[in-house]
Amino acid sequence: MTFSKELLKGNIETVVLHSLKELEEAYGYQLLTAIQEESGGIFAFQESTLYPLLYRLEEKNLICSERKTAPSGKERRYYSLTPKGKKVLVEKLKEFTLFLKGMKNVLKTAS
Amino acid sequence: MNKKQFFSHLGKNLPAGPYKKRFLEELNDHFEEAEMREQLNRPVQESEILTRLGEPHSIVSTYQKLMRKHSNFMIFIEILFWGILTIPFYVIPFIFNILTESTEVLWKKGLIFGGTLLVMAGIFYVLYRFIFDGLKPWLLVLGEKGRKGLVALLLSPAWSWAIVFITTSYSDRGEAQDYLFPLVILAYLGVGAGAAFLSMKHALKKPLMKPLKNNWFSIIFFIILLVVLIFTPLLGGVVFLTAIAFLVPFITFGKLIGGFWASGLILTGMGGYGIFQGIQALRKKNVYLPILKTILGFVFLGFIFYPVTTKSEGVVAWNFPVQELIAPLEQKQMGLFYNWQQRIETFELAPLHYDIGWQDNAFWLSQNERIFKLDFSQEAPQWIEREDKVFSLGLFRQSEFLPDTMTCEVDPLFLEGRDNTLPLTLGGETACLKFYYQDQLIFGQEDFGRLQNVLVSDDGKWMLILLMRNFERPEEVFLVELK
Repeated sequence: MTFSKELLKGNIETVVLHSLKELEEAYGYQLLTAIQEESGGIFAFQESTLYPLLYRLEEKNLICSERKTAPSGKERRYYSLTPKGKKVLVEKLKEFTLFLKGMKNVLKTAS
Repeated sequence: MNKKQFFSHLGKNLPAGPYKKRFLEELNDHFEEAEMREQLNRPVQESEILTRLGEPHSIVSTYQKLMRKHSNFMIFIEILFWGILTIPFYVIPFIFNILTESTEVLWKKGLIFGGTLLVMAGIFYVLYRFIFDGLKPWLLVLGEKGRKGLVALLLSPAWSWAIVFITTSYSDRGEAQDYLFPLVILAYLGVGAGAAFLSMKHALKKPLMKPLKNNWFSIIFFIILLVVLIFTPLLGGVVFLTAIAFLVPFITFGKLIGGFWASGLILTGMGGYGIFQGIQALRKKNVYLPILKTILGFVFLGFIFYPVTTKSEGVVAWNFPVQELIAPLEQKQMGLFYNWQQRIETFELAPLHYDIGWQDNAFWLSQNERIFKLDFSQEAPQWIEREDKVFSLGLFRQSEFLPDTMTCEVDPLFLEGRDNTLPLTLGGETACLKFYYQDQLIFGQEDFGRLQNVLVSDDGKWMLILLMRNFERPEEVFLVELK
């Protein structure tokens, strides 16, 4: 069972920001794997989508990045939330919760 | 495709920008991490990870889509660049025309202009859909060098025409084109062939052809493009550009009005492209830049079509020498002299195989290997073929060119901003810059570059003017009775 990409598109920033909040800091591969696992394999987007999205979030000053040495001994670029990112995430979660509530109500009425 | 080829393709095809290096670096890290971690469970083939990362062309496409801001900016810069280049040709006559026109005329021109713009917008939309939809997959396949090559290729014939136009318009009797034309043709060949090679080199690599499978529209389009590319240097480019350049106004106005040069074509393309890019981006709610681009697109289109929809009266050097839109060519009895014209058949490849001469008290015309004599015995003079006469082509070359008494003056009426309707009947055109012979008006500025030969009969009663063909008119011979 798959769903329309458009459904995820509207919430992809929220998903990434939230995962970064949970992980505190993470590099691309970690983030992608975490999202995939957390969503039970439902949210699987490609690397070519993730990285440009991270650059966009960084441009908006919602996340910041830093190159550090990973436990494997390799250099990786780690991403983490900025204070502004945390604030925006709270807003986005509120917005999404409201949306979800509306959806639930509608679907309940429909059924 | 292995990892090295994968990254090499991405490196060449991702648009330049601040994140390009970082994106490649992080994809590489990602690849390395996947290899390292996933091998713990089971051996992972390089090709598997590559498959999961996606086809390179789709990564490039996603990247371009997500990093749209940058490419929008580049389009804006391009439009601005072309705009700045062509402003002297369009803005100055535009302002000049407004300053010298009455309100009534402006209204009429405005209506024609508006209607034209709407029709053109429709045509451009169709062209845009056809060209860009068909080209899109190929542009990705061609790679960065290929794309640059293609653009260079499309622009090279355009520039050649632009150079020829500029030199023949501003030089005396088009002498510059004697040596410039071969140079232009050489540049044409060089740039065209080089660009075609660069474009095709990338396109013909087998692994990169994958995205085109089952895309028949693109394959057909590519075959057409290939034919154009192969013949572009001399044939295809000229045919392709002139066909578009003349077909578009032909569809719009119902007749060939000419004067639609390559520089205008480029700008038109850029304007049209800007408009539709703008509209597309607007639909995606990326507001500020697209609005600006759309406005710029319309403004640039306006600069082109305003002069096209107006007569060239009023502007000395910059304006299009466009004929009247509807009025047919007419022979008129003018105040000072009787003007009669006889048009010679157009010869596609041998413009120099005709000439005029004065001999045995008669005007003679040689056209390829046929000889005609100007016969005055009828009511209106006409050319009669004389099969008994044989002249060599060099004979007529001795005829006099530009008598000393022929002068060139700027019409003072024009400078005063008054209606410029002096009697000049070359193609129904009036002009501000005119030639006088013994105080009599002969022809206008826009024909200056076409002048090939002028003969005056021994009795000083008749003058024969031979004009070369140019972009919009064939070879012509004018007979003027001097009174």
